[in-house]
Amino acid sequence: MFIEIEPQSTVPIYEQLTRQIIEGIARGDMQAGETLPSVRSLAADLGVNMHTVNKSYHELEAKGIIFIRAKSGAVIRSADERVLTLEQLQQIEKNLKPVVAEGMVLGATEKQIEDMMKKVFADLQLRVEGV
Amino acid sequence: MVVTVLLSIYIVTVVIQMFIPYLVRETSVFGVTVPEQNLGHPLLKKMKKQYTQVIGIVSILLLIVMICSMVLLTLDDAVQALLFMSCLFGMLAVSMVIYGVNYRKVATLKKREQWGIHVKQVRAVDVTARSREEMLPWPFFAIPISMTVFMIFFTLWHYDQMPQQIATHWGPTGEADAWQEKNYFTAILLPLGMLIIQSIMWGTADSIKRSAIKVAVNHKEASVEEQLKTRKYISWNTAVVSYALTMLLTVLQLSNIYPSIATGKRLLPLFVLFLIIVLGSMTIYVWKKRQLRVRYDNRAPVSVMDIDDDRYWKGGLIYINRQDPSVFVEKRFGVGWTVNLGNPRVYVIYGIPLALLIVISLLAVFTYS
Repeated sequence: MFIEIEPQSTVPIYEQLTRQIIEGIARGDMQAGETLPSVRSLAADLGVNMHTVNKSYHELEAKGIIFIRAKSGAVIRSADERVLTLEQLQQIEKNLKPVVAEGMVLGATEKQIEDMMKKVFADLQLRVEGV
Repeated sequence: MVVTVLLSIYIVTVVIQMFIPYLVRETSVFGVTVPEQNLGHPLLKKMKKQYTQVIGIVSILLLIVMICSMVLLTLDDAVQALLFMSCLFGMLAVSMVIYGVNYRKVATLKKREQWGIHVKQVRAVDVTARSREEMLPWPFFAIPISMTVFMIFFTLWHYDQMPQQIATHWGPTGEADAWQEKNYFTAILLPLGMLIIQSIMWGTADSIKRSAIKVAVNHKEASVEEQLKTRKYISWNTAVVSYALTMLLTVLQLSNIYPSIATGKRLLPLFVLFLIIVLGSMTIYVWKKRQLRVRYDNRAPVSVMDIDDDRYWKGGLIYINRQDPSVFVEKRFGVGWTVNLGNPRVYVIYGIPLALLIVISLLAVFTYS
């Protein structure tokens, strides 16, 4: 699975990393139980400071997507282990709100936004069924 | 013998030097990053061709000088060797000058035509590449060290039976040509030096392992493949040289304890073998590298390119980037790897052994006088 980082982007590098790892898991490029590269080697491959990768991994852990063990590293949780809590759902809704609001202000209809959501879903799932 | 050795070194160096523009990553032309869509620029092709031609002509002329001096003049061995070395360094100097001129030309051209200024720069990483890594594990580099430690104890054990003069330097024919008075320090001088060199090799292999697997964003699969193979071959190459050196120095140290091993030219085959292994392993590496080279045949404009890190490459030769955790990076111009001088680890891996080597040589001189 490939990750692409844009250092000149306004989105911080750790944030780009977190998003792309989540996307990779959603697409099924990385499976539950698989180990992410060690902080040291991913930092070397990205050419960034180790703290950047560390920050991203801790964010993923806080979101309940991976768990970090001293010996085995950062392991992706399986769907059964990832119980969706009410707080997490609320958080997703909160994150979605400004995006939907922006669409509404710019004149996108409810139907258009719904279709967009379906498209994003389809894009991510296409790969899962394809493999 | 000296002549053959120097001649073979000269030829291998010339051939590699001539074809460097065609051995390095295609997107780096004379040490300057060139975006893919600009690779077809006629001036670049012309410069590469001219470089190869000029080096070719100069080195053939020098080779003629070398052969003439060998056939026509009956020079002293030392003078002959000196002449050959001057030819070798002369050739390298000429190639450095042409490189420097071309580096400036490409850099100016890139700036003037604003290459890649509107292309998004991206750093791509394969998160699964590390699990496919095939570099030799560290015990391969620890074994020669244990051999050396054993040799030190073995030498001290047999200290009494060693001759009063300890050989410390050998000519290319395998005959000792410098000696020192025996004491506990000079007796283990050779294995000590060996230990330091082996540590450097271990440190090098380990640092390459910790350095980046660089993915070319527009050729992801092919470049990951190339990187993994390169790393595998470089680690094998380092191990081969380390083992060859250990073998050679172990025999030399044994000959210090049992002088009969080195009488006459008995050690000559060993020196030849060592040279063949080292030059051969290097040649195979270069050849493999050439085979693996990622092809950039598609000259179509691309929307993304790899990060342009030209500003961290001083003169396209020296890499200094404090933000990059990699110790080793592949050379922009040349075969092999170079260190990131902005990384403090470099000074630990090379500074400490180098300081130790200096201390040991100073001690050797001190005990001698």
